[in-house]
Amino acid sequence: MNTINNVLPGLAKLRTMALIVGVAGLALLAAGYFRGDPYAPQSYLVGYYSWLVLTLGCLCMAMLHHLVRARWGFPIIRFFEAGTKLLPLMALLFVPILFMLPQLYDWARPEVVAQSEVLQRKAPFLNVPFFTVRAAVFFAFWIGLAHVLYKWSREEDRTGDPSLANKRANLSAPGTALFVLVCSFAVTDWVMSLEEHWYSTIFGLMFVIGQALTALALATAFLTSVADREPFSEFVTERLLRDLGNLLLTLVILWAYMSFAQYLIIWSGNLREEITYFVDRREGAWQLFGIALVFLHFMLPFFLLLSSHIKRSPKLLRAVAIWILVFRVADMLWTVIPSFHRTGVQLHWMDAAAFLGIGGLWVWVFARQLQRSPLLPRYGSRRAEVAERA
Amino acid sequence: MAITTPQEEILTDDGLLEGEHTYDSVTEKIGSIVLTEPPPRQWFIVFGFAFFGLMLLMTSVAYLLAVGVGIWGLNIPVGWGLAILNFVWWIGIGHAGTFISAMLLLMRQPWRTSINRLAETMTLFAVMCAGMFPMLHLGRWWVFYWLFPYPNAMGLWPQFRSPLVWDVFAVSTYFTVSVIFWYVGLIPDLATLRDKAKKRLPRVLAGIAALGWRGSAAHWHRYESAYLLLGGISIPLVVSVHSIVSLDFAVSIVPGWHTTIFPPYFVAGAIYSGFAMVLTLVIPIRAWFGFKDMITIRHIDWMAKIMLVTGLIVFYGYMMEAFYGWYSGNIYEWYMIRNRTMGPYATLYWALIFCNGLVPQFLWYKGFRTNIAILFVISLIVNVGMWLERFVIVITSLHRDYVPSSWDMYTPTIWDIGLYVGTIGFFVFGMVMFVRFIPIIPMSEMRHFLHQRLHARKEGTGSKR
Repeated sequence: MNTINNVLPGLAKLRTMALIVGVAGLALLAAGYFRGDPYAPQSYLVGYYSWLVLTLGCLCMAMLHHLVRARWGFPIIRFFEAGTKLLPLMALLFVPILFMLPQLYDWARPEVVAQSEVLQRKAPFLNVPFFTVRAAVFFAFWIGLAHVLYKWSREEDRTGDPSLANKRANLSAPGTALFVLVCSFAVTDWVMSLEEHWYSTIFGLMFVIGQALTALALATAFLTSVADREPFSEFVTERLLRDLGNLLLTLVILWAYMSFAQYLIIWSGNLREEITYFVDRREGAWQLFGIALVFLHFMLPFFLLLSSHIKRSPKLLRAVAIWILVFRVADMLWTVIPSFHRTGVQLHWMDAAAFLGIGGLWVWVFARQLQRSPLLPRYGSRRAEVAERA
Repeated sequence: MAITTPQEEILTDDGLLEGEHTYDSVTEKIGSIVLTEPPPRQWFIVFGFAFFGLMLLMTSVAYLLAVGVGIWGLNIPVGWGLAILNFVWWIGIGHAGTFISAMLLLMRQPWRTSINRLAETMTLFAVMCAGMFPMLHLGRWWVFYWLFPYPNAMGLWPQFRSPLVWDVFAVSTYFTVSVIFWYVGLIPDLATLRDKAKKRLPRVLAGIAALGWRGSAAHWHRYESAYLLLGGISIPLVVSVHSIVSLDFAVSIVPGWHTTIFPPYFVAGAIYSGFAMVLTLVIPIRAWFGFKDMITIRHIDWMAKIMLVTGLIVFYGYMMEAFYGWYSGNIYEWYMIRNRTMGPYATLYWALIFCNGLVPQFLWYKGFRTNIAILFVISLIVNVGMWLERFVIVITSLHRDYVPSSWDMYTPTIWDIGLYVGTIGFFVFGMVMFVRFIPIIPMSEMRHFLHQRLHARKEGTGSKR
């Protein structure tokens, strides 16, 4: 039986490294926080958000796979499942945010709310107790869903019972619908509410598409790295790579479509409550970020992924996937940080510390999850089913 | 290690074609409707109603052109009434055809065959119906060509920043490409008709339309490339048309119109209503013309599933609109939501929630998705729901604006309704003509489909798709 340790011999070392980076990053961040640095909570939120997007994206993609049972999902379903097992960790890492609410959100500062009519109107929704309850509900939903799906997946490995695939599909259908709804409220709470006035009804959908893209890009980068090794080599065909490439392309287009729709509508309306969002994102270096997102997050991957030559080659496809990942992070920085209205240098070293710190822990646990289950689901029952019908 | 991928699915048992069919029987069954068989009795009944509707359209248009748009219920502040809402309704319905044909073609979904022709034709007539409304709404309809940016001595140019101008381009491009796509797909079938026709007139007409198709390998090769290419071109069009229609509203600053979710939510709504209309048409047609073996329960189940997914997106849109209307903390946004849900048009809003929010939830159960009678009723309810959605968006957002002194109510007049019912008559009339004179199901694609399955059966294993 192949395990991840055979496929990726350096994994044990990577885990240790990740743990060291994680602890070091978070220690630096904690030092900054206790020194009273105002950037520390902000950096933590941005880092947390970046890795949360990936974790939720894994759940989203796993459900999509269970729902459509597509060929492309088969070799990477375990990768996504391992990602969904990190939701409890993300719930744990959310706790510090609850203690930093006044440093992060205007609505959690009574003296600001007292001055702001609009925040007073939002107060029945945006207040600390309700915010906390909602976060608990969101995590309970995600963790519960991920747990049941994973359980049924492993159970099919053991028992070969084909009805479990149907059960997963039947849960994933309403699961996906509720997931989009829950994610919309979560991102409203955690990101949109950083802004006093701004709101955008498409924001939740963009968040979900962004998640799916992040998770798929990482999974593609992973699969193309191990494409020539057992047991993946049997499945990584040109056709599979093309499907993954096309799926990445679709998600890139969807992301661009929604981002552009949001920009165009807010730009043409030019209303004071809304336009400030983009005004802030055109300050100083952020303008460069914005332009880079148009050309490098959308246009370049778009044209590259149109090419069937690139979609055939594991190496080239991996390069594109990694490229997309880099700009996913850029997009998240661009979305979150300008809301803090930092002055002077917009990116801080603590942003990096938080990103690497949380990321280190994430990778450490994630690699452990990969080690714990077989690399591919057995789905042995399907072959029997096929043979029987033929 | 017993690992198989889900790709090994068996083609021969997918429920997409029932009964024992040969190439001949497929051609005979579909082609005979055009060439030999007299139409069923129901065809004449529907024809009668459709003809009445068509005459109603003629009358409404003639009176409108003679008198002017004053015969409609428009007023200030509701300057966009039923005309624009019918435009959006029809153009939405006109999305299923190209979605089925192009998107499912590129996604290699076998269930598109046998419903794509019907859906594409429906698209063409729906877009024609849609196109009438903005033109008739112009008032000075005789200068409609001013919409196009052509060099002229008046120094007059359209406002390129306005989505209304983008609409002109989007809809006309969409219509052009849909016609070409439809016609290219039709060519091999026209050649079959030419070859099978016993009488001279159909032979000559089909012969001219078939453009000299002989079915040689070179012909097929070019045909396949052209078809795939047109499919690729159509997909951005499907998305762009309704996105731009949504921008007609969203780029304004009217509460209820100015909201960022509009583009994806309109596109989903368009596909949703389009599939509802396909079901409304397919269910009687397959019964009356005896196509239950080619348009099977599996096809219908798939269409119902797409309706469920897109319906959920639409419902999500309603929820987000309402939630952010409150969350925004903006008194005008919040008033708009309260006016929708509790104002003078509240009944229509809740009817909309019933039609598009609650009724589609029945589609979660396979029992309902495969029960033809229930599904037919659901498809009608969805058609109504999508009309109500546009009514709610257009009318309730306009009739009470920022200044209470300018508030007014909007009531459609008999001419508004006459024109609307008239376009339905035109649409049904077009479909009635289509089922009589053009193969409803693509014969060449059905033969190809049959070939694949016979091949798979001969090999004894599932063909890998």
